[in-house]
Amino acid sequence: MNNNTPKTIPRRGEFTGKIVHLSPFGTESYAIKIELTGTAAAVYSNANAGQFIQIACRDLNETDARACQPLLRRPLSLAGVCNRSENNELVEIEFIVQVKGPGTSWLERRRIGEPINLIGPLGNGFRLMDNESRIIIMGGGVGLPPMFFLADQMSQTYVNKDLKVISFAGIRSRAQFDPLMIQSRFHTHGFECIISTDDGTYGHHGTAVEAMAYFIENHPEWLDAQVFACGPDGMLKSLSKMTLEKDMPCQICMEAYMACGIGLCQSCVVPVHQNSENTPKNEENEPVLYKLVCTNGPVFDARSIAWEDYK
Amino acid sequence: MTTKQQKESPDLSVRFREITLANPIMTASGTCGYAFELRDFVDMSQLGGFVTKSITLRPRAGNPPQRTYETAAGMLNSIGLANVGLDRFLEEKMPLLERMPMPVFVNVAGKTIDEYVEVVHVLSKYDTIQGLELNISCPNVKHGGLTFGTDPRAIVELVGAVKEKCAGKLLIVKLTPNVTDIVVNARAAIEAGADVLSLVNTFVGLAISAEKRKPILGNVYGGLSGPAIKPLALNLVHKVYQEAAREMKVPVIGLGGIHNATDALEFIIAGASAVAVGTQMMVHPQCIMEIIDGIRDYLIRHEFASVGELVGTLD
Repeated sequence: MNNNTPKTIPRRGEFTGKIVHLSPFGTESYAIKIELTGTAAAVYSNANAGQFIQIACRDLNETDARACQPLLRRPLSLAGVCNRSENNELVEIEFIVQVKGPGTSWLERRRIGEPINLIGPLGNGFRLMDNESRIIIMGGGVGLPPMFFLADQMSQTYVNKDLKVISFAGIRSRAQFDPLMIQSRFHTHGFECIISTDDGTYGHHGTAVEAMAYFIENHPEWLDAQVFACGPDGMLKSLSKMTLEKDMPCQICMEAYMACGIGLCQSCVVPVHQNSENTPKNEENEPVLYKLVCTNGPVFDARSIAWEDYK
Repeated sequence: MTTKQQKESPDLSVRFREITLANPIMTASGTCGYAFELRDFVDMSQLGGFVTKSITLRPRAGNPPQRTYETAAGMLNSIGLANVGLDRFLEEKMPLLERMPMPVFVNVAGKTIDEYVEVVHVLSKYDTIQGLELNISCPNVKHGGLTFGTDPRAIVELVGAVKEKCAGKLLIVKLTPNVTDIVVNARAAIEAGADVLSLVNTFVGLAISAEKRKPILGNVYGGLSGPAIKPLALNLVHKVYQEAAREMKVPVIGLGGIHNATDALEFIIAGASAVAVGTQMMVHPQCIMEIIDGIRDYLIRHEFASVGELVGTLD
């Protein structure tokens, strides 16, 4: 791919970068940083938290299909974008990856300096309104990394404002992600971070949504807060229910099983509320509308998701 | 390019009746949307022909998720023909397709013959559309949901009815591999008026979560695509070419797991006049350029003056 900078910066593209950092982020996870130059650097310097990439977890120059496993790219949320030069000519993008299958373990076996092919940045990120006075960030499991990037962007956006931010992080166990590493990503901006673990190996023994409910009960002034979240469906469903009841605006970044990431395959659907006449009907003549996580999302208004249709 | 290279450059063009494709590389329906989705990643104008996602008369929301699942060297999908429907296709997608320099073929699906005919009748009025591809792997609701494509009599009835209303547009019939004898269906389609056959559609498959003892896909069954099906697809393309298409003088578009230029060449050698790339477009859209270049290099290396000379040359 040609990485020379053209006059207009494209929104996205297929680029090859170079691994410049690979380190553990808990016993089951690692942080990986990829260096981009030229057009790729310019493109990614405009990326937003909540956006993702589709990463090839194999060598695309290898054309023999017998050696082309895993077949599909893997979607990963941007955990950070760092400008290494003044004019966006050198950019480092970061991902936090939990080893789950052949794709994520292939990535973990890479060495510094090796090339990585990626498509992105994809999807629509979180929308910062610039009128918030209090913000609650919630991240669960592999939904935490985009919230690190969001914290970075908030810190830059609201640099001179009297903004209060608190974050709630939920992980299965301290093995999934290192709790101290999670906290440092928020503390560095002066944001508080409350950790919950499903197995009680660190912090609050329970869910991040429970921790947030308890916090709000004791600090009702936070009922005015805007909520930004990313995590598994169960977390987002109960958070959506709570924020709806309490009338708190809430943006959620969703995950879904995805093949292409660019709106071709129509795999990554979520049911949304829709009332217009054009809404497709199911066999029982009930309106059902799906939106694509990859191109309509991954960030949605929590109120727009039809959780009752969600399996 | 030097004069010498120009002289040696083989003819990559393919003729489907009066339509010329600049090269034999097409897209597989349902894998490349309506083309504009890919504009940031690859120059689609390099393609020989573009085939859209299936269009139905009314909008379809598609099947409940999970809709895709990666398998060993393949992918299962049960999207359920999710599409915007004919009206919105004409309103929203056609203006974008009009800008495409290469021949555009619209894939059509339906639940009844009347639905197919109505969609085809409307689409045939548009100059932008060079031809129609019939997806006959849909359940025929008037006949107990058995798919059109598994019954030669239903194929004859459907293709015949569409042929009357397609205003002379090129008619491609896409065959399903999920049958006992694909040659019987190929003959049925040709006799009823198919100008071109495309094969194969996906193979029916099932993915199970042993832990949950449940199917992984929301629709239980899905269609398998990707490199895993290439040997199966090659066999069927060869069979249809040998036993029907060659003698009946109908070109074949070969598809099923094409990943690189060698795969494409294998399909052409087996009897395909053109090939379509599907699943690989979702992973590596730039592959179409690599495949076109690879075919050209092969023809030069083996001293073929045109890609047409290579079709069906399996020894």
